[in-house]
Amino acid sequence: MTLLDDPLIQSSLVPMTVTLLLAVVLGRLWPRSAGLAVIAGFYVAAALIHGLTLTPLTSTRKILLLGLLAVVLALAREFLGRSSATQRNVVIGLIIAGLLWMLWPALSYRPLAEAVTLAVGLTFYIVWLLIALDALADQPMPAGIAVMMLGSAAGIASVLAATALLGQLISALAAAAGVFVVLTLLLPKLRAGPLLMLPAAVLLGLLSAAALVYAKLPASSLLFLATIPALIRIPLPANLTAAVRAAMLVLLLLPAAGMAIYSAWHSAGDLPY
Amino acid sequence: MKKWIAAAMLGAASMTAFASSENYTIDPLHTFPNFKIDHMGFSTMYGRFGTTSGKLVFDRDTMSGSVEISIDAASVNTGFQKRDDHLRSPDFLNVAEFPTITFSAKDAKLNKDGTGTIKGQLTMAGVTRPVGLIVNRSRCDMNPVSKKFACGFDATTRIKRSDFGVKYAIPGIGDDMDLMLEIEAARD
Repeated sequence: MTLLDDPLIQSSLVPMTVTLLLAVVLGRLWPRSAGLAVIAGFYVAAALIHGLTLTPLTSTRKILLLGLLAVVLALAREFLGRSSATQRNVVIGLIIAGLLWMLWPALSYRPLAEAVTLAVGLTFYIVWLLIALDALADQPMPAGIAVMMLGSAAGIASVLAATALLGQLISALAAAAGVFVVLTLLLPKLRAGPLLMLPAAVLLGLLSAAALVYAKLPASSLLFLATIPALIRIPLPANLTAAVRAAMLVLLLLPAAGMAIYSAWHSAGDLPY
Repeated sequence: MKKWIAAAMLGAASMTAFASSENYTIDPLHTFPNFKIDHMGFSTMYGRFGTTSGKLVFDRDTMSGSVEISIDAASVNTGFQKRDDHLRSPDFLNVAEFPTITFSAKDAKLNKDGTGTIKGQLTMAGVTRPVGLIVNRSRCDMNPVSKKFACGFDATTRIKRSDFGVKYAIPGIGDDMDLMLEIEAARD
């Protein structure tokens, strides 16, 4: 087993290193797009964790494709300038269609009422993440912390919910976002922007939804996760340094992240095997 | 004229062969695909699939036929619910997306003693690969309990799960996976 085959290296060191290098380069060349470094770090990790093949086209591969679609949409938004309500609705519509495409194999054989409940509930979750994370796009440090905390909690909860694959992927995004948070403290001109927040919302939302539908992530975990983008908007005293501010935001989000993990742990039971 | 006689004889022979092909339905109560896999070099983990269905066409004169077996992937059972949930997840069998594991062979042929290798296609987790199913023994006879004519097969094969895209935790959990199929089928 080589170093790059180690799950811990794949979902922590690899995305962190790629994000660090790329964010520094983008920070010099095009600071507005620095958030893209997080997504690049995630995709390098995803290539190691899950491979680059597209067949069979599983839900996980569909999610990775939809994340790339989100990158394209975010790039379009960057080049077109401020987006209109219509453009935002089109993006949300595309992502909802993507969610249903990803969920279809699991929904198609469930009773209609259960399938509709799942689809509607998860649609609300994804749309909420899209809107709430997008609202943080111009605040790089809170944006990075929101992605990091959402990813950490959802990643650990997914592993407890019997899917190491999805847990590893989500954790890779959290690790990359963690590096971005540290960089925003050192290089204040870095921007999160839609290039980070749109793909991150799509990936976090869809991967968590997949962990619920295809593994055993309880819905209560998603409810606690959904509070994170709201809690991060709680105003803090203005005179705090950026580092203290970051530490306080992490502390502020810890209970919600902890409850999301606890729900998964409680639901799975504590027997290791 | 000789050619015509030969052709007629061949035709008659093939019709006889066709006539002796019989259809069988797999008995789910006596058909269990079992598997074993290495666990970190410490031990060998055994499991089975509880629900299997399928059809056989078998000609006992020529010992040839075809087989279609469908295994309910969600019926995996290793005796521990939490591990079974994990086996059903996208890490392994991904049963929500790929609910069945299938084996099919169109031109199966056994030796006269009922042993042999059946070359077919195994589909698992949405990936199809050719496999050779080694039939260690087989027997066709009247089942004294059900009073139905039945055939039974004891077959094994070894696959690499990574060939089917099931790569989680290799090499800790072995890549080589032995499948042991105990099949009983009653004549229709």
